[in-house]
Formats: sequence, structure tokens, C-alpha cells
Amino acid sequence: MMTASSRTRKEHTMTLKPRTCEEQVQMLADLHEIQNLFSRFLYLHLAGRDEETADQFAQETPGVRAEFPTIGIYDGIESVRRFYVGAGKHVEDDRLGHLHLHTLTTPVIEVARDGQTAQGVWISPGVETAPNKNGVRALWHWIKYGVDFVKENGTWKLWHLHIYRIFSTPPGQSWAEPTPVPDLNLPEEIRPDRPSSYTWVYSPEVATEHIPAPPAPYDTWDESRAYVQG
Amino acid sequence: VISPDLESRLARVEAAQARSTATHEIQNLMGRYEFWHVANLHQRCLGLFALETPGVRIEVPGGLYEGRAGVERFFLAYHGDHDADRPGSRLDGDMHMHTLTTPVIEIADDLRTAKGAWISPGHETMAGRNPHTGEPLPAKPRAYWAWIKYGADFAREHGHWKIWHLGVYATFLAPYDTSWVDAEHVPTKAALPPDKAPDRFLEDPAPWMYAADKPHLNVPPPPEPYATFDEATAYASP
Repeated sequence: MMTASSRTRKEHTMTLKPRTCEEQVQMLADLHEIQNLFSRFLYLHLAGRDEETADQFAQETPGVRAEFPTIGIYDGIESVRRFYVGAGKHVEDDRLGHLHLHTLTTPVIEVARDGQTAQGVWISPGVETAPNKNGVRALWHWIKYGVDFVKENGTWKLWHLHIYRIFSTPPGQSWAEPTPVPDLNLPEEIRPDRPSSYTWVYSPEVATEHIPAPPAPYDTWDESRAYVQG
Repeated sequence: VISPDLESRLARVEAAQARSTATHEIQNLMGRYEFWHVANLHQRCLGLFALETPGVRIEVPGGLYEGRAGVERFFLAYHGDHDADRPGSRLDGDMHMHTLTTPVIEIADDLRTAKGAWISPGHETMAGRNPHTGEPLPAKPRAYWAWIKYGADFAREHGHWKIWHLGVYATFLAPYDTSWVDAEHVPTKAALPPDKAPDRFLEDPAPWMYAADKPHLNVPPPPEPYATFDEATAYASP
């Protein structure tokens, strides 16, 4: 289980070895590719291109994971693909009226000194819109992302994707008022492998938490850094 | 004497450095456009466009402004009566704020052009007249959420990156307290007089605008890495 103290600790782990000029230029190219990759992932998700969405994850690197706060954790690329492609078929159906629009703002991205992995966090104002038995439900939907990336055959890929809730609220209603979480009633074939590790969401009765903490500069991958723990 | 290995490493570093600089300049160019737009500095925005490059254009909901003359008409006439640099403009309560998020920016291998896409949460507060139709509005401004996407091509003119094709792809425009599912469509350019009208009227609402009975389209598609500009991938209704 992730705790606030474990994530905060990593913010202060500073690398001591400076990059050469050549390495700094490579790092700038890596930062750009990582931002493009994650943005492109959200465009594909929004457009219901589910196979291509899953393709943005590492296909050969062990330990791919995705955690969704109200659903659970998917372990391994096959499970992550099962979720994205399966949800597209079973939950979105013909996609009429669906709008799952997530943006990326406020980035903090750190590329490992060895250039093989990277970590990033973003704050994401967005909207969720989906038909249900009462019509079409629209929500302002603010979340945060904590993501680990890995270089696979020379290309950056998503490795661990973790979505953290901030609030979901219908247009015209304050986020300080409760909004019931809809029962997703996921079909068996797209259920998660295990439950979520972290389910914080805004309410007047809870304090905000420093999770996910922005990544600190680091030299090489250490599994304890992962935004989704194995 | 520079060794072949060092020469090759230098070339790689120089190419990567040029791409990083271009990416930064393009993000700043688009950011500057948004800051000037919300401050109603529309005449000034003209300087951000590739006015000397054939094919310069702006697509906004409902219409396409083509060529240098079209782009000038858009900023000087369509936006002409609410420009902070023009005395007598009606500016009180008028605010059109569009942000830039979720960037995908690709620089051509030849470094001559670039392409970018952004998702833009924003809001529009309409005062004086409806900027889309020209019709007078009540004294109290009307506030809307305005979420759009941008797809833009960039070209270099005199050593500077400029906006070449700007596509504004609206996702929804909804009163601040109304769901985008329930919001009525606001008609756009049809009522404009000729001196403010686009060169070409476009389908309104556009196929990519949200509606409960439509699927959301991958428009504009985020750019892919590319070697040299291909007109078939151009944004803004080529």
C-alpha cells in the first residue's frame, strides 16, 4: 500500500552526477518524446482507438501495470490491453455520447541519469461523459497522473500508469457536494487483477494529500519508486 | 583535426539541439497567441502568422479564412471592433480565454516545418455583441465553458517560426452552469456581413463537436514524426 510518507521521501533523493552537454541534449529529446507519447495516448483514448491506446504501453518489458482508482489494478501488458480493448467493446459500445477527455498540465518529468526510464506527474482537468439508464451523465472530472516510462527498443513507452482522483462533479454542482460513484458493473473479462491501492477523493471531511509526489532526479531505476507498486 | 566519430556525434547533438529549440519556440509562439487573444490584442496577432507563405489560413468554427487577405480580415475586421489597440473598442466584460494542454509537437526532419496539436480547456465571456454572429447581446455578459482542440502547422519565415495553418476544432460550448450534453448549439458565422465573413463557410456544428448521438472523432489527429511536409496531413481544411 502506498503511503504519503513513502512518496514524499523520494522527492529528496537527488542525483549528484552532472550530465555532459551531449547527455543534456539527449535528455531534452527524451523529455519531448515522453510528453508527446503521453499526450498521444490520451488523444487515442478519447477517440476510442483502443488497440492503439494499448500499443502505447511497453510490449516486451516485464512489469507493465495500470491502476484506476474506482476499478483496480491490471498487471502485465495482456491485462492492460484486455482492459482498454474490452472496455471499449463492452462499456462504450458504439461510443455514441461518450466523451472521455483528459488533459495534461503542470508536468514534472525526470529522466533517469542512465536514460533507460523516466517518471512524470501531471494535473489533469477533464470531463467524463457516458450514457446510462437515466440518459447521458456528464461530469467535470479532475485527476492527477503518476506515470513511469521505459525505453524499449529505442522508443519510450508507458510502463506504470496510475490515475489519482481529485473530484468528479456534474456541471452546475460544487465539488464540495457528494457525487455518487456510478456502479460500473464491469463484465468478468475486463475486471481488474487486484483492488486499487489508493482511493482518495476530495470531500469536505478529508485533507488533501501529497500523492503522487513529483519525481526527484535519479540515476537508475529502483522498483520502490514505481507509481504502481507490483 | 576532428575525428569522424566526433564529427558524427557533433552532428547528432546539433540536430537534437535544433529540434529542442524549435519545440520550445513553437510552444512559446502558440502561448503568446493565447495571451494576446485573451487581452483582445488581435491586430498584434497578425505578426504571429506566416503572412508571406502561400497557404496561410485559419479555420474557426463555421468558417475558413484563407490567404493573407483572409487572415487579415479575421484579425482586423472580424475581431476589429473589440481590439484593445483600437480606440472606441467595446471591451468591458469581453474575455475569450483558451489554454494549451496535452501537447503533441513534431518538428520535420528537414527543420523547415512543424506540426502540433493541443487540447484546450477554456471559457468565453461574451459582451457587447456575440462575436460569432455579430448580434447585440444584453448588457450582462454571458459566460460559457469553451473546450476546443487545436491542430496547427508551422513554417519558418525570416528565421522565425510562424503559424501557417491554424485549425480551431470546438468540442463544446456550454453556458457555465449547463452540461455540454444539454447545451443548445450556438450558431456561428452565418449571419456575418461580407467584410467580416470567412472565405468559405463550413459545416456548423462541425462533425467533431460533442453531441449525445455522435461518437467523438479523432480530429485533429495528433501529428506523427515526419521527414518533410506533406499537404495531405495539413490542418485547417486544406
